[in-house]
Amino acid sequence: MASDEQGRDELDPIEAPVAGESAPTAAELAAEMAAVDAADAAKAASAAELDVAAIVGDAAPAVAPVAEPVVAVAPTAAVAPAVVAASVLATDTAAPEAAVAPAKAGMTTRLTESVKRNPSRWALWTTLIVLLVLGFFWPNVPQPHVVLGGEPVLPNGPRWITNSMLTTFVVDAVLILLALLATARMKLIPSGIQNFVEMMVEYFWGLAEQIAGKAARTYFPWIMTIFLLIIVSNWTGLIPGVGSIGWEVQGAAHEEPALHEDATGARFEGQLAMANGSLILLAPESSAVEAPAAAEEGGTYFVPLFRAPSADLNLTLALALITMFMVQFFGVRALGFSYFRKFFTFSGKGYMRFINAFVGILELISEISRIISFSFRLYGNIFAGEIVLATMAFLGAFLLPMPFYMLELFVGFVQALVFTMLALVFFSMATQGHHDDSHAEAHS
Amino acid sequence: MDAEAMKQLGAALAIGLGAIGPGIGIGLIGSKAMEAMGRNPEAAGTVQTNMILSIAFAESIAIFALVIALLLKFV
Repeated sequence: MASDEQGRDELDPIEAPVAGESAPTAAELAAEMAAVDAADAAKAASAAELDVAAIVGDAAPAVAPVAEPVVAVAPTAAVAPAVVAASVLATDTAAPEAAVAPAKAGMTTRLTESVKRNPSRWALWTTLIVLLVLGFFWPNVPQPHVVLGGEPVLPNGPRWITNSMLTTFVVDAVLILLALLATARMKLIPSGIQNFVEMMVEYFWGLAEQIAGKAARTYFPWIMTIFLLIIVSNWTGLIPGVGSIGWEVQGAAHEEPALHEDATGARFEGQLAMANGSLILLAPESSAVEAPAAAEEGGTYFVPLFRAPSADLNLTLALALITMFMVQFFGVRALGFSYFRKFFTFSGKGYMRFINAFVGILELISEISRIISFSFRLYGNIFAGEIVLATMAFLGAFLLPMPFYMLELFVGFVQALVFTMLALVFFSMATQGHHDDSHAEAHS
Repeated sequence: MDAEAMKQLGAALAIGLGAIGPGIGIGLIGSKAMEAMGRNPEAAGTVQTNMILSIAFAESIAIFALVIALLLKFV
């Protein structure tokens, strides 16, 4: 009965504006009063009605002549007296459950009021909860598909068109577009995109000047380019659709049957060869063209159309090679061929001669290990981030990956910054003389 | 225990043990950098730059462990 009255009250367009915000509460109370007992119901309701009318008095000038006068009369101020009157009446009529019921009904009414007041917040919370529940009970969440490197997009096309290659082109296009847009209508007082780009450039110019001093002019284009390329390619992996849009590709027929014996073994072996190129000594025949999971899914496997470029070792290794080559280049340009005395030296007296020679060998090794640490730092961070996101999406779809998205945004930025700053430091370290501070350089 | 299981275990141990040292190192770097910034707030920019560089150097050790783990797991 109570819910019936409440429903009618909410639905009636005439009563609602007149009754004000707390009208449903009053209606609920009255309804509960009426529900108490058959004999006392009429008395209670009329008493409540009288009480409300008496207390409210001139606070409720608009008494609408409708079927339920209580509902129409009760303005905002009438709630508390009505509750008091109702509770007194309820205890009088010795119905304990009736005393509990108004509170409960009031809560639901308050809830509906709150929903009405700011529907957007309630929609947000409801969506979150629904997503949380859905995420736990979502059927057939695909298992995280761990592929170490880029895969060829076209099954019969050239092998070098991998999905990370494709994404690299997109990143290039975005960067070129950004540069064109930022410099299209340059103004003395920048605004919009020009302002943003100038801010970025100024920050890195300050960084370069701080570390490299006067040579900042030479290094700045390199580090800025590296930073922009890396940060955009780091963040492409976070765009929805990258890594999840793709198609099924038929497994290659000319794969050796020996690899099919162990499906997972074949898959991982093929992927690594693609990822690491010549670093890992694997036959190029067994690279990723040959069907990951070919034996599992009836000869087809999923190839995403896009993949974050820095989640592929090829790009990071190329960047590391370029950077370390430019380190040598700048060193030679600044110091001439005496730059190489850093690596091959027999200076010093007595036994210091051998120590210095050994230090030179260490320098050479550290120069090579910088290539590895450069490339694998970036690759490892971004690739691990992708795996973390995929695993979290697998554990609890929709909601669980969200904090990790934040984390990956941060990691992408920090890794781009680290790569840039290390390149800058190596540049400026190579151009400084080797006699005074060769022992103070960092070995990575 | 067969070879495959040993591989998995080796990969997990490689990254797990290999992350201990860099973790401690990064913690020390961070704490000292915070201390330095607290003592000398004007130098916060320089300290921060050098802190990130040092963290990158310490982190590269963990990256080597990650490489070993990836090699063990996927080769």
